[in-house]
Amino acid sequence: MVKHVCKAIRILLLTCCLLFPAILQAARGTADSSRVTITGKNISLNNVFKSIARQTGYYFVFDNAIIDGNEKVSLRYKNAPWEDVLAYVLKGRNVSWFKTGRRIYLQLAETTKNAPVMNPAPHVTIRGRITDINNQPIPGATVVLTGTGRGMTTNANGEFELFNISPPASLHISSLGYRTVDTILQSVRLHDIRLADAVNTLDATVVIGYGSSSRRLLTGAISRITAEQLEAQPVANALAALQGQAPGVQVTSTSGLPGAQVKLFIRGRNSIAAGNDPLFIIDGVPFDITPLNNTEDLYGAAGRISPFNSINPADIESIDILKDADATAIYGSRGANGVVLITTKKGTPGKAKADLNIRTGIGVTAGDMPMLNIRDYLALRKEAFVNDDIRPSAANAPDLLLWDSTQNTNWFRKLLGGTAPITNAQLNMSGGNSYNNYLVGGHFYKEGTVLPADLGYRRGGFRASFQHQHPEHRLEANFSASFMADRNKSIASDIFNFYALPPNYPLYDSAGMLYWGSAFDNPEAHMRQQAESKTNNLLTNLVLRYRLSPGLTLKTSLGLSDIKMKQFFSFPQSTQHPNNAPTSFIRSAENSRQSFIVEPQADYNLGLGKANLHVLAGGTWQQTTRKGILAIGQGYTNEADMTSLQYADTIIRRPDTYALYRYVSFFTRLTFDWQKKYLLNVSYRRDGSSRFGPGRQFGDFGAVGLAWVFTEEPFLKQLPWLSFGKVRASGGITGNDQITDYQYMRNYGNNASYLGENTLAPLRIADNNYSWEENRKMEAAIELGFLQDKLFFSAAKYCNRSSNQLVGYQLPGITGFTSYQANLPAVVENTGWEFEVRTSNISNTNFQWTTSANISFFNNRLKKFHSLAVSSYANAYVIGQSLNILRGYHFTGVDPLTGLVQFEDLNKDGKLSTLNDFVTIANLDPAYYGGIQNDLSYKNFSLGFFLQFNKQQGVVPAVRPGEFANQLTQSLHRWRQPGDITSISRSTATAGNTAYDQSAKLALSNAVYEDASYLRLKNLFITYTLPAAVLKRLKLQLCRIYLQGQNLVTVTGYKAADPETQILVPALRVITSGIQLTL
Amino acid sequence: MSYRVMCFILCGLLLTISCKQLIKVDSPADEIPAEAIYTDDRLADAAVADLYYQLSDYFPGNILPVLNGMTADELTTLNSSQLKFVNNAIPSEDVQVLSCWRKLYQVIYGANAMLEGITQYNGLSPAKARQLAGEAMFLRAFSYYYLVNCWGEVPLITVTDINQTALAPNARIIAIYQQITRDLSDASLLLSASYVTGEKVRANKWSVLSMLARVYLHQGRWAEAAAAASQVINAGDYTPLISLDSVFLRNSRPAILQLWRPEGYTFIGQFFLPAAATSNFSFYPFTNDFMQEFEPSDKRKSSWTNSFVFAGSLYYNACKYRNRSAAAPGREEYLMMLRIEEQYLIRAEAAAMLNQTSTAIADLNVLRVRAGLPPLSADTMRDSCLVYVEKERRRELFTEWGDRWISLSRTQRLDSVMKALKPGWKKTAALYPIPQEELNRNPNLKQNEGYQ
Repeated sequence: MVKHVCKAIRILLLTCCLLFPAILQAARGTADSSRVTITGKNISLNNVFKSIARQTGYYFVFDNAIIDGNEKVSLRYKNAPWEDVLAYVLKGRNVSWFKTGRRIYLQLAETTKNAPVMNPAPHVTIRGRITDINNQPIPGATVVLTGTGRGMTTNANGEFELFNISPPASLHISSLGYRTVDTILQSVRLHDIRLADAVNTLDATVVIGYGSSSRRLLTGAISRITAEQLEAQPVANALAALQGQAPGVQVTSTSGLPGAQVKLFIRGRNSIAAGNDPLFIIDGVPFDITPLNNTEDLYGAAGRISPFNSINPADIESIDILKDADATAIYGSRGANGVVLITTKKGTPGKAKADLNIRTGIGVTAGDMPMLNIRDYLALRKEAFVNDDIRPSAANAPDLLLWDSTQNTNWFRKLLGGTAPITNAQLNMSGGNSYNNYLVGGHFYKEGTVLPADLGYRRGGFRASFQHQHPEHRLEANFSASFMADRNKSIASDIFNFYALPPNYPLYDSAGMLYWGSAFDNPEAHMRQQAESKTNNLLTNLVLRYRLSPGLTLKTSLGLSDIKMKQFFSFPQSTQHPNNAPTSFIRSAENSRQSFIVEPQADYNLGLGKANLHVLAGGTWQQTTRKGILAIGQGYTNEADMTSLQYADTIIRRPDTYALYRYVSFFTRLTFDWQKKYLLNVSYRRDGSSRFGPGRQFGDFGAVGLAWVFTEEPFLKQLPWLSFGKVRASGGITGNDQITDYQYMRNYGNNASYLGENTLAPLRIADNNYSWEENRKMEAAIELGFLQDKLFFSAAKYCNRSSNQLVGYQLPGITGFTSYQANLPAVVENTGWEFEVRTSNISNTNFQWTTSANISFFNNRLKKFHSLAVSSYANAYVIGQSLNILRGYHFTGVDPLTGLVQFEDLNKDGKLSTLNDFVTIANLDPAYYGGIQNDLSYKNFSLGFFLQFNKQQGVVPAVRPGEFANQLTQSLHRWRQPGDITSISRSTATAGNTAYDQSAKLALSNAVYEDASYLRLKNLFITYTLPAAVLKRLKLQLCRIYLQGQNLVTVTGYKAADPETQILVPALRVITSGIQLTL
Repeated sequence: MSYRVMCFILCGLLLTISCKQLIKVDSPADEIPAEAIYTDDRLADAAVADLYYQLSDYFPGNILPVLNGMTADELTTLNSSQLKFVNNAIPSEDVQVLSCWRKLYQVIYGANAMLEGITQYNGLSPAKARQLAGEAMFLRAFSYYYLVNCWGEVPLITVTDINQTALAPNARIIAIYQQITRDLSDASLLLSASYVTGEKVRANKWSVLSMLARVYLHQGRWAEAAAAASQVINAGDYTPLISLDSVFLRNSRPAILQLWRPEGYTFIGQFFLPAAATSNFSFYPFTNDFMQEFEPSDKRKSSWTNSFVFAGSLYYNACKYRNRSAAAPGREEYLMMLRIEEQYLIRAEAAAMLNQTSTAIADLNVLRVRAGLPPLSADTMRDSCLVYVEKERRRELFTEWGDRWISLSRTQRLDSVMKALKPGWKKTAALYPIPQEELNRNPNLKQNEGYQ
């Protein structure tokens, strides 16, 4: 979290620099930032401040009511520390100062705050206008007369009036996202009070469901990831950048190929069904992250393609992750798996500026498969045939008899050993005045491939955001739109499994044609099976606000999201194994999803003296339409024609798919705080969804959150070392409706054709008894800030219980189907601890060092399952254990006498059976995971590095020496003769041989699950910012050059390539360098 | 109650009422409710057509003959990943076995749903209802025939209600045969002698009786088997074809029932024919033992087998089906389900069992003469007749649904034949393993002997 602080400051700085060239110019007169020279008589204080600012690069922020800038002083300082100068001029003025980042804040000295009210004086009216540092009015700020409970909120112009006050009035002014100010106002004139942006994360804005709050006032569990954290990482999919960044958020890449899905789970997998995805909301519009290519024949090598690739990471301002009941219950039926709120960048008032950011670099496969070389491989195979007492033949051993015995190919390296060039360019223009502002931007991203083929990923897009607000107008409007198009040129199937090809497998026969003389598929042929997908994504949203009266706002949010994916696969006959289905065919598919949402809301804010009440009520109506078409063109006489359907002999058009989803809800929330000390938050939502059958469509959800900021208590306020302390607790019910549409309808659909006529097949086992899944979440947490929040610590413990889980209840095939939609009669419990520490280790003018770290412990447990033993899950789950366990044989080693692999025969009946001898062999839940971020900056240099770790079990390929496939080098330790003590089987090559059949069971045993924990230097980010003087000469606002690295070093005991993706294409190791220019 | 409260309540009520409207969705345009299916002759017919389509797919109709051929003494393989079938060491996790199993039960589900739907909705014309019920029964029986012969004691499912089916235990073989026989007997009364379409791709009465003859034979009900086979043979619609090259063409003379294939080619054709363009060998050549079964000058050898050289050795492959991909006009091939030649073999075997050797010899000679072989002499003994039945079945019906594998089991000859040929042969290999995935999901289901 220190990182957050540091980065918040940095972004603030950046914003300030960009918006106030005047200040900037004043501030950057000289490169020497710490010492100043000021000499003169009767210089106004304002000029002193300006001079200090010019020479140091810092600037001053203060309320002109506390100090008279025109007052004159005389000083004579040469090359003196600026602190000395400031101390001198402020001496005796009852004003103290502190510096954060490049800003120096002046404020009334602490002691005066409690100064006794002087003699009774005539009562006056105190008026003030509160603005932000850009001189924009801050409406809705709270002004409280210290020690009285009297107070009010500012109007649309940021103005307030307090009548009948005996001066001087001691005021406490606060507003979300700004530093609070304690000030004493004397006169009756209109005071101008400027509030600085909150720079510590306690008061910085946090986005919550349908609103915003600050960490200080939150009753729920929310983690925030800022644009800076995303920018540091050269990733194409923003979700990948979240790995290890926030406690309780588990992110896994499924494959290193471009476009592959990145899985994000919040506080574990609650549901055993597919629906574990959190709810993603981009600027208020739900973004469905279900891949559009959801059927296996549309997967391609990268598998399911994440729609999140269509979101440009650089467009994101912040990602807020909502975890507990208090934060998520406002999303009711869709909050069970947590909610991810994404806020995109908006324009800010100020001079028009252009920001250009270009980076380029390379990606290589991270990790290697240690495979046997040809000599060891052939020796092993020969040994196997000797062991089996079988003569190798052309049919069972072409590698020994037919193939080149000298070719030595490591297929993993040959197929994944390339270098992928990566380029990203981003251009943003923004500007505007205080009433209207804009941001328009475009970006382009290009990623090559590590595969030996002409493949790659390209993406381009633009977005625009306009905001209108006027202090005199009651209507306010925000509009933003983004459009993105990408093209992913890939191959049709994953090639990872070719790592096990024998080292002497020939790609070509003697005639130079692709080789097909064995059961193996030819990897070169796979390179010629194309898969191309093109995605277009349009996201727009419009927010209209109307201020009905002070404190009461009506708002309507409208959103439209339209995503379309076109895919094209070609499988020339010459690239398919002659033994399979050897006609040339292509697949052409188009899937789209269109979503429209309307959310009218009313928002009422009431300050009641010491208390503050905020009431929200609103409704949602959403409609999502999914459409899909798929055509298969078969029989091409010329493979070169396989670019369109038109040359196909036969075109088979699969039935179009179509689904309509409708969703309606009412929600309300009441937030109450008493002196920012006692906080209460109550939310309720009633949802209706078309995914449930008649009579089961509606569900009720809600939560209560409580917090006590105990450092606000008088008896604790004095503690010098404890700057902030809060305990909070929440509990509530959320739900999950991530199931397929229409499951309650007993329908038939087109299946194929017979005699040229369409045939109809039952689509599902329809059962309309299923209803909402319930997830009861409880959480308690403590948050502590020490030494002016230099050390910030938080700990949270949660317990989520989900019951009535919605699953595709698995069925044996004898029922005609393999699953049907039902509620699982089970209770699943997720519990966990999350810890977070952030520290500001060193902070002085030239050198800053901050550290933040988080760790999450997680435990999933099946609490109850009604008649588990006689259900179809009898062999999959065990009460008291995780849902993510695997069952299999218990591998007990290799018999030293025979070299046969052995498994425990639990019931001692002399045979191994899956029913009786299966034990829990692995738990795929991580035991703990987290990350450590360090940010260091020295003058214009900064260095950030991020370590990510995960303690988990993972799957490895089974080692079966002698099998007609290359083996991991572990197979060198195989059993060879009686007496050998080893865990690797004797070599054997023949199905039906006892040794072979036994070792076939390895894949079903704990032998293939091993520790896949890792510690990874996930990210390294080095930047150099050109000094102000140089920038001025170049007429630039900012110029930064940087170097980024991703997945640089991995420390692991895992034996295969990558402990993260395991038996799929490993993640990329990326190194890029770039430049950012702001004009 | 004040006016405002009333107003509020009213608004609230309005909201709830309209809420239901707001989330109302109709059945999507690409789906048809069950009710519509069972009240419309045309739609119900398309639902039954789908069951034939499913049988004609890769699984089970095309791959089952290959798998059964390898487990028996008919085929071997050059595909090392399929050696487990040749070696009769099939792991219970094998996905091909699982796919065949699931597909057959899928057909059974469709048939069960059809039979229930016809009764429940009672919305089809009487003639259509009779026809579709008859076909559903036939298809259910056909599927169970292969299930019981490949896996033995499989669960017997005759309803669609998952509360009754999801945890169904193994059924006794005798009970399964009773169900098959009942279905076929009922279907024979429901179906007419003519085909409902112009082609022989939907079951008629003779299809049902041919199947019934085969099933009686399995149960040792010789007289009934002979009678059923006679009915089909005497119907006169089907005769063995002299021109062996044309037997597997669409609507050929001997075909009683075929499965329609688009483009007139089958996957099974692809399995056995070398892909001249990319390779000149077949992955599933015949065993030497099988090739030696042919008597000299057997036209079936010259017409239905072919040879190729691979890695210096001579191999033979099946070429009953000649089309690998799209067919020449007039040479379209459909997947053969039932043909008249088998009825002669059934009657020959039943007759021999009933000591009616002259009938047996006559029936065998129909096939022998057609194949260019010398007829059996009239004094051939009963036991010799049975030996000839076995040989003729093997030579006539190879690569058709695994007849050899199933017949050897039926005549209890499997063990002795296999022991002589396969060194690692175990008696329990006569049945396939019940797919592991099925056992995992159904705790009441028990694995076959030898696979635990």
